[in-house]
Amino acid sequence: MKSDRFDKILFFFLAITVIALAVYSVRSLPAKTTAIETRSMERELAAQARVGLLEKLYAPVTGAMQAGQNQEALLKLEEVNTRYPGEAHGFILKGEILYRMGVLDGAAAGFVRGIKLNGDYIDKNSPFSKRDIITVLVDKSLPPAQSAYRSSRSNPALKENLSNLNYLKSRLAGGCE
Amino acid sequence: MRLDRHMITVILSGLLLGFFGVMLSVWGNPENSGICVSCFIENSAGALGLHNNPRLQYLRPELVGFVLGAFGSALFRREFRSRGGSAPLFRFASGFFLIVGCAVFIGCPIKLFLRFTAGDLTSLAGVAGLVVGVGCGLKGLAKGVELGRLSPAAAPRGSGLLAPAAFLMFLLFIFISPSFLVASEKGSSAQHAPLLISLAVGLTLGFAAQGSRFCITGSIRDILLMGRRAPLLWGGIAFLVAALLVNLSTGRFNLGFAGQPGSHQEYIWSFLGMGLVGWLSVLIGGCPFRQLVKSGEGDSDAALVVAGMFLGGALVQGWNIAATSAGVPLGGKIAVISGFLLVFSGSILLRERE
Repeated sequence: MKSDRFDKILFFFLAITVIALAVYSVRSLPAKTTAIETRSMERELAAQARVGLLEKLYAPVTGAMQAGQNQEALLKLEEVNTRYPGEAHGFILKGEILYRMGVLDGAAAGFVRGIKLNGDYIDKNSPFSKRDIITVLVDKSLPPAQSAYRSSRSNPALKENLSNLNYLKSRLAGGCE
Repeated sequence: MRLDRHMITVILSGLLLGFFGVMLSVWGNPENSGICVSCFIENSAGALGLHNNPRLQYLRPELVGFVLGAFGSALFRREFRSRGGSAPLFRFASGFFLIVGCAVFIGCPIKLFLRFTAGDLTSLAGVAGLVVGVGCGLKGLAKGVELGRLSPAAAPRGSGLLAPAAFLMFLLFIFISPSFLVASEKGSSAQHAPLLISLAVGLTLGFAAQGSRFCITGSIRDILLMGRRAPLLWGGIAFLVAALLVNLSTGRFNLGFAGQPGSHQEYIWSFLGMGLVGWLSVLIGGCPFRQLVKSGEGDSDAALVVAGMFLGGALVQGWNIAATSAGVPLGGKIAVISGFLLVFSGSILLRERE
């Protein structure tokens, strides 16, 4: 097929649009940097605001925990939870308190509920990361939980505890989800 | 087994896919997800602003590499040819449901076998589902379920260039980071191999897979049809052996059912999810990876499947369809059943009867 005048016109405008696209793309680069910086800042602000708010809301609980008053901390946590019942941080703190009290199955259940709501708690670099304590919990609890379940498979509590620990182990192992 | 040039290309592709599939995890990708087309699609859809899960947003360079590598290979081998025009909307919907099936299982067929070679025994349900799905798809083909033949005449000239052009644009996005592009700072999308390594691996695998036609569901299909005579059987074996050896040598082999990375223990849904993927893959001529490769070599029908996969990547996150270690949500179960609705109704409507 031979190219005619119409083809030449089309090629001419194609060249112009390519040049225009390149020019506008280059001109957008400084604006892009500003937009990215703004967005990063917005994300950072939101993250810090969340950290600050959670620290403030749960201060009575963490205060009692630091003083070693775990029972008191649980009571304070119940008070906060009545106002914010679906907050992941509450479940995570409950898990941590129960872990300190040696109630390992309850601790696992708390961590599972919290992490299902917000996976940040299992990340290494998250400000409220509980990865280390969860790793210890899984290492300590999983072998006895497995043998307990094997000896009494009909017990739903043992089954649920094993399922919770396996979930935590899977999240610790990573993967794409 | 006749060791001719095609056989060597297929085996080499299998070895490369197995080796890099694990090594990308060693270099930074999430565990057992060195290569996972469905995960990459979900990540990339998020990066382009199609969903807002802050833990799954990253424009994966491997994905871009697969298409552009296949494009380069097709040009190099003089096999680039615009073609298409066969049941486009069915293919688009199939692309969507391919990702649904993968999201319910947690991984594409490549990741399925990467999980298996890392000792994840929960993947066995997926393996069974994929084999059964491919078998059912073959049965359907034998009974006359046909989407119609691809035709160069049915596709406008140059239409096959649109998919490589789109992925070339994504490549530019990776390097110039436009303001709308999002990248996770936490979660699995924050884990990735260095950009240039990911891109180079993607280009290499796309180039190799275009030349060899290597594909996981294609391998299973050929094994079911031809047995030991199928070249893709040896490619599949090369893939499994390479992945297993690298997993063992890098300390990533962990045999068991419980606590495996990115897996759940709802075996029936793993079976059904991969069954759906296997069946659809036979109907549309290849697994998600093969669709990307075909879109790079001018197949505009495959490009429509890829577009459907991007929609799927967005909606499995937005509609709470994707499974997690906690299990398969109700939305995921409904979506898989809907996928089978498409398969069965499509098979009835598209079947050519004597």
